[in-house]
Amino acid sequence: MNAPAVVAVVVTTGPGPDLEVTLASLVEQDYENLSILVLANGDTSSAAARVAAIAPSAFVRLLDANRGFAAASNHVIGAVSGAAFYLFCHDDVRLHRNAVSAMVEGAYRTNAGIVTPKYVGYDDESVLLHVGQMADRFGAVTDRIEAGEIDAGQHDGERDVFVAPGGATLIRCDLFDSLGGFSTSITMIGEDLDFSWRAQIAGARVVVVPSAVVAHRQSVAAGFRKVSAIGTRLASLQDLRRRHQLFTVVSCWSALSLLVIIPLLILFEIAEVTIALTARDTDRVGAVLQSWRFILRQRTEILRRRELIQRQRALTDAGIRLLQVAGASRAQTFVQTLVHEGIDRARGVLPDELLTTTHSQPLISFGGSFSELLEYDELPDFDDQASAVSLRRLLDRFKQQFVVMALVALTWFIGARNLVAMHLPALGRLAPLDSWWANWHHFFASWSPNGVGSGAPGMPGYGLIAASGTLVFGRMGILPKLTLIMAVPIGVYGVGRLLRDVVSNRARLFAALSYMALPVGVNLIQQGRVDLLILFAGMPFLLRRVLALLDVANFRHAPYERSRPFGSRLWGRTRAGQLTKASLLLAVLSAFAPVAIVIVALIVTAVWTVQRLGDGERALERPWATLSELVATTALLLAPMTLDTILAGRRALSLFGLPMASWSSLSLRQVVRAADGGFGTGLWSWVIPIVALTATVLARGERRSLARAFAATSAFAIGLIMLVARHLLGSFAPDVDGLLVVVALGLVGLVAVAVSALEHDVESGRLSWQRVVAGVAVVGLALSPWSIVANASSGRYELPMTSAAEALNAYTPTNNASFRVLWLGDARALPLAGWSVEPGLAAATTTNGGPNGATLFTSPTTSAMDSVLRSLELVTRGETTHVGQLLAPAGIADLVVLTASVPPLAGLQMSQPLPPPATLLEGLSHQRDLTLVSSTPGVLIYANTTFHGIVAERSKALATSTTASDADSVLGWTPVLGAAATSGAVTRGEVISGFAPAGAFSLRVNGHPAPRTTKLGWVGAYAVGSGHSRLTLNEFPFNGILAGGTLLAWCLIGFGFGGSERLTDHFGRSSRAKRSRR
Amino acid sequence: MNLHRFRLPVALVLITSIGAVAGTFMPRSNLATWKSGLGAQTQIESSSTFCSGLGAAHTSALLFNSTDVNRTVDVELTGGASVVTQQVVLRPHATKSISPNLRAASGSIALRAQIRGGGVVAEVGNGSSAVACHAEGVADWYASGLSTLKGTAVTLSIVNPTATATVLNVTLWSSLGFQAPTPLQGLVVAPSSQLTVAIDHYVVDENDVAVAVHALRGNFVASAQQGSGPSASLLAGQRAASQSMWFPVIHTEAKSTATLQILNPSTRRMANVGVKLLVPGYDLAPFTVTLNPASTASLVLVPDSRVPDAGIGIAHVNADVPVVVTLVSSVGNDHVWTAPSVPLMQLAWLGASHDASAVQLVNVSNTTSHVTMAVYRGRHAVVTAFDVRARALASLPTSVANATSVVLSASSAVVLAGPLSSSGSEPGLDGR
Repeated sequence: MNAPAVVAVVVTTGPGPDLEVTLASLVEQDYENLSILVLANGDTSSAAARVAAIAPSAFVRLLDANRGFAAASNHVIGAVSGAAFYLFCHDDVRLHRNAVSAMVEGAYRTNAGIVTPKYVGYDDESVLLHVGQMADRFGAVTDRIEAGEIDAGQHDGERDVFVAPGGATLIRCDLFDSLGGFSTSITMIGEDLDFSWRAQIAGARVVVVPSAVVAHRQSVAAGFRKVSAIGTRLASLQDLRRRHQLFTVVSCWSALSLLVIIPLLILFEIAEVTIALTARDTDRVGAVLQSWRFILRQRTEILRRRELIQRQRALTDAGIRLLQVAGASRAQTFVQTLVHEGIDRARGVLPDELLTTTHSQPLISFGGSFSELLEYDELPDFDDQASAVSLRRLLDRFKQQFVVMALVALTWFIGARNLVAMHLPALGRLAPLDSWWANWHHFFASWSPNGVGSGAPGMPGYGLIAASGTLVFGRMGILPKLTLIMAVPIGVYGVGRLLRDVVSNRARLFAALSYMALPVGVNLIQQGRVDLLILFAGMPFLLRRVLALLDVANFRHAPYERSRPFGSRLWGRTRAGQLTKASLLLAVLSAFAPVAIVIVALIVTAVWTVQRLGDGERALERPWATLSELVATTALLLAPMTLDTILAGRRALSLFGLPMASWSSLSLRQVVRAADGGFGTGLWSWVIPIVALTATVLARGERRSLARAFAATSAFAIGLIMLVARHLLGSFAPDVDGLLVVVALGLVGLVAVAVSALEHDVESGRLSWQRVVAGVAVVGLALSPWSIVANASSGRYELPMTSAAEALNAYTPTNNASFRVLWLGDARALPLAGWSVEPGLAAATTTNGGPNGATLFTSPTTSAMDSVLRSLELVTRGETTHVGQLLAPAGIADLVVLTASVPPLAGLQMSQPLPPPATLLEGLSHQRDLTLVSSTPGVLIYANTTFHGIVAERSKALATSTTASDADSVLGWTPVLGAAATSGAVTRGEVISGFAPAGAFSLRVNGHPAPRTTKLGWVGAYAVGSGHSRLTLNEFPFNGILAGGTLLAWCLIGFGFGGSERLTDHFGRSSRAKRSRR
Repeated sequence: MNLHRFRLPVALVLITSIGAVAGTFMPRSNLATWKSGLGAQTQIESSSTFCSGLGAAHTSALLFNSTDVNRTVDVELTGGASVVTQQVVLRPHATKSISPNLRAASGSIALRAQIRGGGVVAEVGNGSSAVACHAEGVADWYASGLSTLKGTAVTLSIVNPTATATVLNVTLWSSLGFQAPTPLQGLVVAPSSQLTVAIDHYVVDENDVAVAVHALRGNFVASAQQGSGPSASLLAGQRAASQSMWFPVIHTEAKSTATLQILNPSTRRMANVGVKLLVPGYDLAPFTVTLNPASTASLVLVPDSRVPDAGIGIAHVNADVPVVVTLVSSVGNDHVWTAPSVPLMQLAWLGASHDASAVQLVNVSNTTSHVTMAVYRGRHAVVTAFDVRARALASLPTSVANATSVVLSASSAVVLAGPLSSSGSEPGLDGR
């Protein structure tokens, strides 16, 4: 009996340099019924001759274009008859002489539809490449062997596998024909997974036969050959792998399974993208994103394939799942790499070669802190002190550190468990965000509803929120929760980055834990200050960059590159590139918390002072020039905010914060412990400052310089806070809670120095004062993390469950009028940003209810809001008795006076008393036209009895000389245009509109513009006849142009980091592809 | 030991210590401290004045513009359900009498005046007595020395000056002790309206009655009327019990009487009260009286054997706990109830004495007071400046005689002694 006919189908592209070897190995096969068909892809000019030279009996088919391995292979359908098996071969394999016969025997023995051999290294056959492959439900392919595993026969058993990796795959002809061959949508990479999966759905087995050995060069995967098939333009291997895996997944699972798998996959990919972004792994991010784009483009083909697959289905999804590996392979790989090689390696930051240089150049990194190979294990500790033997090994091993970090992370997330699902109260900056699109609108808008309306440019924070909204697919509610939960852990990670290469990993670990244990982070959560939480998270990263720019010892990894062109990938390593990166980070932080700019100036000043006053301190690199460049670049990147600030005049400094009242300002005790809020009030909170103080005593040498820098940073921040708290700096009052972040950073820096000093500077031998101080430090260090556990008890870090804004709904006008609510109180109590009336009193307005996403950011420019603020000044000075009348033109229906951070609810939520000036409460109580409608602890609500809506009409026009002080200004008005204040019926007379600036609006009655004058100082007044009217905004889109320019500036700067080279690559590849197609 | 290494921690500790000390001594109070008086009111955006007790005992209100510019005043008179409004333009230093012409069901009318700007003051008088109107409401109010003897009615007029309903408790003291009649607890005065309480319905046939009003919510303006018909006397009362009070007009002539009616509102402490009567040219021994907690007492100053028949004196009351004191005086058959004068730095009088020599100024402060007095006859002002030594009396310039109004500014708090106002007893209007 003749052996079954096998046709070896060799697909060659180019053809490849190893074609002859492949053919020769096929020719030498001991299988008696083997034919060879060479399919020549791409450049086919020399293919026939080269094949003929080695295998004269082989058939050669020249293909007109390179459409990829799959498309080429499918030519065998209909072209070959009488064969039992196809052996699909790449042109860079070398088969052992018995490979074909072994595979055929295996196929019959196991009744397999697909047989895959044991792949070994092309240059070193003792190294295993593949012994079949497995895949998880998400299409992620994993090998059954370790990378670089030596073949000792340990995998030489025939067994089922899920994927027959490409190279030399034996496929039964009837199976191949009935499945329609490989998917032609998969040009390269991934056709093996797809075909194997479909074959198994159809009931075929995929079996590895290790007795068949094939050496595979993997030219494309190893980068020896470029991806050149049609349809792979500009795509990297990673792109192709990701998109084809996804293509297979969405094709092969049933609809029911996809309902579960797709959301899970999206979740994993969001996590992966996030990690990749932190590692600046843009290729990975691009691969993930373009895979989904590919799916959308291929939706018709996918539907067709799904229909076909369902018709051929012999095995259910459950059966397929049994053949696959459990879990998510990519996530498992990440975690395993994280555990074994650190986070930097896990997320792909460090090149492999660096991992092998641990002894000559210690690899000290946060991720590396999880490595066993680090030098800190050898740190000279308290060598000969018997009592210190246990301390010497305290947390000096990777596993110990990992366990501590894991426990702390677990504790943190347990502490945040209720934040995931709870309703967020409207306090601090937790106003509900508008939609993704609305935030873009706010950024580009010509008008904002802040105050009584403003034509000031939209604040850049809206743009960043909108951009963030894209990452969560428009689910904007996730963003504040993510910030609340993740800001502190990110900040902790940032501290690790801040101290990288500066102190030992153990010191970094303690510093990172201290950053979490200090009360500032949890207090910011409790106060709902997401703006400052972003600052808390980002400040360590920014501090690192600033210190590196200043060339503070050990903070600069390597000397900066000299003069690389803007746009090249290496430009980011130049000083200009590094400065720009720092500016970008500063711009992001400042967009949410402008106090970041003050903080950077404070840090530079502190470090410069230390350098000037210290003995033999290392000179800083152009500190003032660096600071100026940073601020100038940031100002450019935040052009709308910069312009707002310039236009604000005397109120410009309020950008950084509003003056506090002396009676509710922080005491020195609170400042030193970085505690402003419910956390950090006990004795426990002194532990970290005490440990920090020990650093200033124990440290020597470089550590002493470091201690000086951190101590000065903290001290300067403390000093500034004390000056601001007593409003000794006038209207310059940077947000003290923002400054507390700097205090905290200084303290944790000192903690790191303290640990480092314990490791290096404490002399061994007899008992000395040093050892006493060291003992204090050690005890403090041991105690410091416990507050993390203590803080976690409520499950929401004491974030209140309700706020004053929730109580407001009961008091809103019922006459279908548009209205404003005036919020008054200490700036820290207001649920939105506002303007200062006087120290300790801020004011802000909301329209038609409580705070919302349109008033997240407040420009320092007040414009017509000045009239409201002046009225409030009159109240606090006792100089008016009808403030309701003065506020009526602004449509203010209610005044909400906050006397505490939130209404206190015994046992349920903590409340921080933040009393406004007594003169305000006294003044309001004597107003003739305000009704106190609610007086509860923490909040007073007054209704304005002269309220007439933001837009109102009456028959008799106001005299031009009438002012808001005249009683006639509030008499006889009726609200019009409804709650939205956009359109509605009006009757003959005069309509006034409390939207500023008046010139930006027009009122059209029956389609005709009504003549407009400005009355009561700033209010638009329109003489109208009866009819239907519409109030419209007519403003030149200057703000939109400015916002667009700002966006362009960000893109241009982003382009600087390799954009030019990428473009060159793109066009180069594109033109090459065009040439090849031609 | 290398002391250099301690420089940094020592510097840090020093800096924080200095910060701590500075922080401790920096003012951190949060008290409502407004400038009071006419001088502070000239530049303000708007002000109000509220008068209670109109309509009873043939009273009328008198508005006075103490500034050099016209003032527009929107006047609202409320009596029962009736409301009458009118706008008045007051020329500089002009006065305007407002006589209510609406008939209130309760017999009492409230006046609310909204003034464009400041510097306008008002009083309510009936020819024999007068009380100042108030620029703002208060949370507490006290009066003592009321009588509900047969034939004498005591009425409390309470005005709510704001748009917030006022809730208040009225409590009483008499020889029967402390009373808190149930109907007078939790009284609600609707926004911008008034309430009249007949005290004699709750305390019958008592001679030494004291009353206190405490707002549980909102604020109010109150005054008391005692007697009936044209002979009724108005009593301004006190905003708070006090330990030091001045009564500037004590008639010591023959057939005059002057009695201090004192209330000790404290429920726990006894009150030791001393009264120093200042009669020019004499140094009199102080009067003393001790009051039990929550009790009232009378202290007769005139007639008394130690008081000479020397014209007008000034009484200074001192107590070791806050007390409420009313002077009940008579010259002839008319009894007048007078609340203590509040020492002020800016004062206005409407009308003036025919006998300038009888008017004296007491500098109640411990420093010399520089006094400027503008005396108006119509729009013509005669301005006089003089100094008054600490804790001393000084006679007013003769120009005060027959003046239509007087505005006085002093560099420290003063109290005026002598019959000056249209009613002959109003010690001055401060506008707040």
